[in-house]
Amino acid sequence: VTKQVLIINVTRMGDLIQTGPLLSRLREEWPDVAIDLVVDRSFAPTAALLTGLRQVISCDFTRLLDECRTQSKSLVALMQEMTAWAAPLRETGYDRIVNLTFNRQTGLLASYIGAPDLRGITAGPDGSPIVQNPWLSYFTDLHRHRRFNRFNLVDLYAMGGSGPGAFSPLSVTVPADGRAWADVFLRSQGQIVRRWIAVQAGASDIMKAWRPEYFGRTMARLSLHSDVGFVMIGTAAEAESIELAKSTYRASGGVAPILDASGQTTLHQLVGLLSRCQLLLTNDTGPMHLAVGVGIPVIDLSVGHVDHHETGPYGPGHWVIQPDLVCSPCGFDQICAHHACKDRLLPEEVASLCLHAIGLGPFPSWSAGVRVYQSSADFDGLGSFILRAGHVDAGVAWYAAFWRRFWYEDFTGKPSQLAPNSEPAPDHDHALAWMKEAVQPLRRLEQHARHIVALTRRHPLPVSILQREQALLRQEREQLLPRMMAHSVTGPATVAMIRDIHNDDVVGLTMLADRQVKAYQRWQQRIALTRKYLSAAPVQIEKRQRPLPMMQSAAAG
Amino acid sequence: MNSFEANVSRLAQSDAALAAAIRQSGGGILEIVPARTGMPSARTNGRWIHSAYDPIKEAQAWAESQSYQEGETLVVFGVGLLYHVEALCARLPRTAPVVLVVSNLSVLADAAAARTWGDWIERVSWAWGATEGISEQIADAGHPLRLVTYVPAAALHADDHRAIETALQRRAAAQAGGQLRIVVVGPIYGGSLPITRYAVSALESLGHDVRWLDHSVHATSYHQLELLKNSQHRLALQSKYAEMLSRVTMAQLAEDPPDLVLSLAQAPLILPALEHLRRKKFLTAMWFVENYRHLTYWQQLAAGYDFWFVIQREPCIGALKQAGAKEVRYLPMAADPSVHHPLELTQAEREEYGSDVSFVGAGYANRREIFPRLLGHDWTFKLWGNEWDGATELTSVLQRNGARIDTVTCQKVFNASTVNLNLHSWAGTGLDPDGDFVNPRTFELAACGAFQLTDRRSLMSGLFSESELATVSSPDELPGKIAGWLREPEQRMAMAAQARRRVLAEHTYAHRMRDLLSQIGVASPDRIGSILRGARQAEALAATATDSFPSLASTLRTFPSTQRVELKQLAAQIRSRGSMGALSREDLMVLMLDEYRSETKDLV
Repeated sequence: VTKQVLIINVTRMGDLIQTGPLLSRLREEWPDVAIDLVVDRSFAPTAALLTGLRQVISCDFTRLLDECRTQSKSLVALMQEMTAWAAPLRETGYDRIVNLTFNRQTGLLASYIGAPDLRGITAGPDGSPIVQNPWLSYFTDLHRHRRFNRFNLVDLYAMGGSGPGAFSPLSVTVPADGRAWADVFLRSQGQIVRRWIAVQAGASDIMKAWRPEYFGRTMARLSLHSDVGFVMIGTAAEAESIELAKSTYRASGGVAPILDASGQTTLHQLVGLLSRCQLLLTNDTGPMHLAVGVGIPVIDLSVGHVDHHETGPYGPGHWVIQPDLVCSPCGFDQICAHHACKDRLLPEEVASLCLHAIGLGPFPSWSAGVRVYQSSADFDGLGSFILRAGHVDAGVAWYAAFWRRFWYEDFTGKPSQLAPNSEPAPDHDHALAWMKEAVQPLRRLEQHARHIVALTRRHPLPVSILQREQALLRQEREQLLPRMMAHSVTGPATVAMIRDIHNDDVVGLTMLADRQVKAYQRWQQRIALTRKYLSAAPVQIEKRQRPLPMMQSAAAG
Repeated sequence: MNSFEANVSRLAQSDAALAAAIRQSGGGILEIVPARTGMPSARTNGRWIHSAYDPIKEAQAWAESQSYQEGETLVVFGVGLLYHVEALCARLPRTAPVVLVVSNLSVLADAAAARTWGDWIERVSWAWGATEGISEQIADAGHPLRLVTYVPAAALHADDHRAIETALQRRAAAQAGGQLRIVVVGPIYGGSLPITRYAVSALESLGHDVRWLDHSVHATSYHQLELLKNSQHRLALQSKYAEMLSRVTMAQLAEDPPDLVLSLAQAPLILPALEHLRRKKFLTAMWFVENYRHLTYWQQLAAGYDFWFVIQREPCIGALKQAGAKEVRYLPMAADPSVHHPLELTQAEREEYGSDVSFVGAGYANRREIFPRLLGHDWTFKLWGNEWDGATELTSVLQRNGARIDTVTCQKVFNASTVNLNLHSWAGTGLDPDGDFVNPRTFELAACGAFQLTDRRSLMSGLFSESELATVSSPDELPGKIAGWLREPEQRMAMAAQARRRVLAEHTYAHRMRDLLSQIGVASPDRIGSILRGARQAEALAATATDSFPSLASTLRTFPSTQRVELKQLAAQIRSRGSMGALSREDLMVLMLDEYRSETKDLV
């Protein structure tokens, strides 16, 4: 019987492109799977660039939001519209729904459509959001331990929506009409340019945009090479940044041809244009993922609140420059007054890396304010980044590698092919001492939770005793949590526990209480396992080199 | 049989009286001219009613541009040769009722003679006869009504149509029972600030849920900017300040989106903010309580608001439409009788505030020029108000050294004066030659039961009769009229009492707000109109939900029957069942829609 899967991914262009490997993984899991995708109407053209979908189902969620918010229609009219839209989805009878949009709205939609296997945010028995699937739970809480995260969003989607498997790159179809348009567009400036470099100077959020003047100065530096030319891409809303980049380029002595395609390309044309370029210099944006999808190398300027480990260019062949600053990357909702991280990236150095990426120069030397990463794929078949220049705090590096391996094995139940850390943790003794100290409080929490389960089984229900015990348990837990969170060795497992105890996916007092017992058990098990790993003598691992999957260049093809 | 006979015979089957009346009417209003396509087109007074090239195609394009929601009755203004009605019938579902307003039977006779009507004519109901009769026929056709106008044809009878529309709005206002949620955006300071207060109070008195975004709290900071000597700096910063307050307004609107955003003149909402609000489906209206000739910032905002209400008629309305406003309506000033009413004054107060003749207001040029003529007579004259600097001739009568006069003092002066002068402001000498709108003071004096002598305005006759207001038509008449009225205490009292009755009956802010809402309601029958009709109340919603959403209908029935229920209330009811209550699929959908409702990130 053909399996049917529905993916819900409605919010961003980049997220859609990053869904590609999940489609491959699902076909690996069920070769004849039929996959449907729900997107916002504005992203339907983007979804059409993905291969392997049975159908793309779009909805104007923006209009729906506006109508709900302003009450421009009666609730009955809204119900009629949305139930009519969702009826075919309900009738399809999906085997699995993967909700990759992390908001309550789509969680309720996923539950409304219904499937035996729901993944991602869905609605709990009382309508509150719960997260199903450990990978997608991990993603939901990633912001709480992001300095240790080494999983790319692409892999979280693929592992959460399906499971582990072979590395699969991002891939988008380059439409023939877009490619033909790009050829005409690039010829329009009349000069012979061998290497077109696309430049995305804007971003949907100013926080994650490198300063436009720096783009201009970088381009001016690059323009000293006689055979390069620049294509500015972006939306009409980014016109101000693009103009600033262009004027700085001219003021800084830029001499190479420059074409401005911003605000005037269709999606097909943008993809066609990217496929004809040799490089994209960009902020972390949707077009960056498109460029990765068409197979051209990307230089990702990872500033502001973006972290390339989460959303950077996926798979081998790309470069990331990240400022080395205490506050970088900042929190998702951060409003920054200085944007000082952007000044750490020097245009001259960025230009040198661009030249290296297109084979016109050696790997450059770097000033102290940045980290430079080369993208790759690791032995577990996941996207990764290799530090090529700069410094990462030893503790962060150690625990990031540790938790990367730990979670992979915990969530998949399979051994990771990555080598464990060959050195002891920088805080080895202190970490072990803390975990030893935590054993008793953790055990007490589980015992207390078990006592509450027993209380829920009594007849009549001892309501006041139960309430008191629950309050005590909560108090005990809240006292322990800050300390558990403060340690790199226990923080990430604690975040997972918090998600566990709030994920009320069962009904009834006893079931809920029992669910808490299991959460405390899992927490203890993870801490015990962590303790075991840290206690073991470090093994000297022979470092292996693994050939990276070759990247097919769309421009060459 | 010619087309006239065929059409009228067909019409007789559904409306014999109309058919007979058409035969009697004779026609001859429209000049029938063949269009390029060969189809008959029509002209009147040299103006084309339908396209000279392809009237059918033109009518189809017009019909395509009209909105329609299921369940509505479409009321068409404009007869012409009925191409547009035919196109509308073709576009609408067969069950959609269409009522055609026939203000002039001769036009319909011309239409009948010009071409043979098809089966679509059987779908049309005809509203004809006297204005009141037509509005009754339309009202009887069923609710909700959506009024659509084919302008080239309707322009022939614009006054009739306006009267019909007004009658329909009055009916809508009389039937209004639903509670709207309205945000009123007021100015930072100025004359529209007290009007905002009155409007808010009036809307509340009508039972609506009103939130006033009061920007007068920012006045101190704004006035600090006025102290800047460099005009470029001052203007740039004031502009930035208004922009910032516009953003503040957006953030406040995002917190709890209303059914209607009602701005008063000088409200700090700039065009990009208004455009953003429109994109996000907010409904906005502006009551522009200004003289459009003096303050011209409406030109920049015209396209931003969905509805404009102005205190002047033509050419003001035309100018706003020319500038991009879609809907512009006349809505004159008014009074708030809870603020302006007769007062029992003490003897001391009479001495302090009273005089034979008084004026309260700012020192505009025309007043500075006219008032010296009132000095040296055998009456006492007191002048109250600010901005009289340099008017040395008037120093002897200027009270409180030209200080600004608050509302309470103003009311006492009105009540204590024998003859209250009400001279509309103007920057020139004499009386404003374009004087059209009637100022708030007129209504406020009348509401106080105070006698006033005012300059005549072109729009005054539609608001007050000659037995209610004493007027002058030139400054030269003023001394004589004052002297005359001072000699007629009984007539003065009778006139003032009549004016007060008129204000209470027709010219309070409650009347204005009811008119404003009913006009918006008629123009948006599926939105404000439906709320005003009570279609969003629990019982009405439950009735519409019974067949398709039975569990939703039963939840709706747990609310008081006349309570307005929207997603927020329904979702709260569902959530209140707690984790033990199993959620139905309908419940999940309601909760989903409610989550969309509460989203705010994209608004600011």
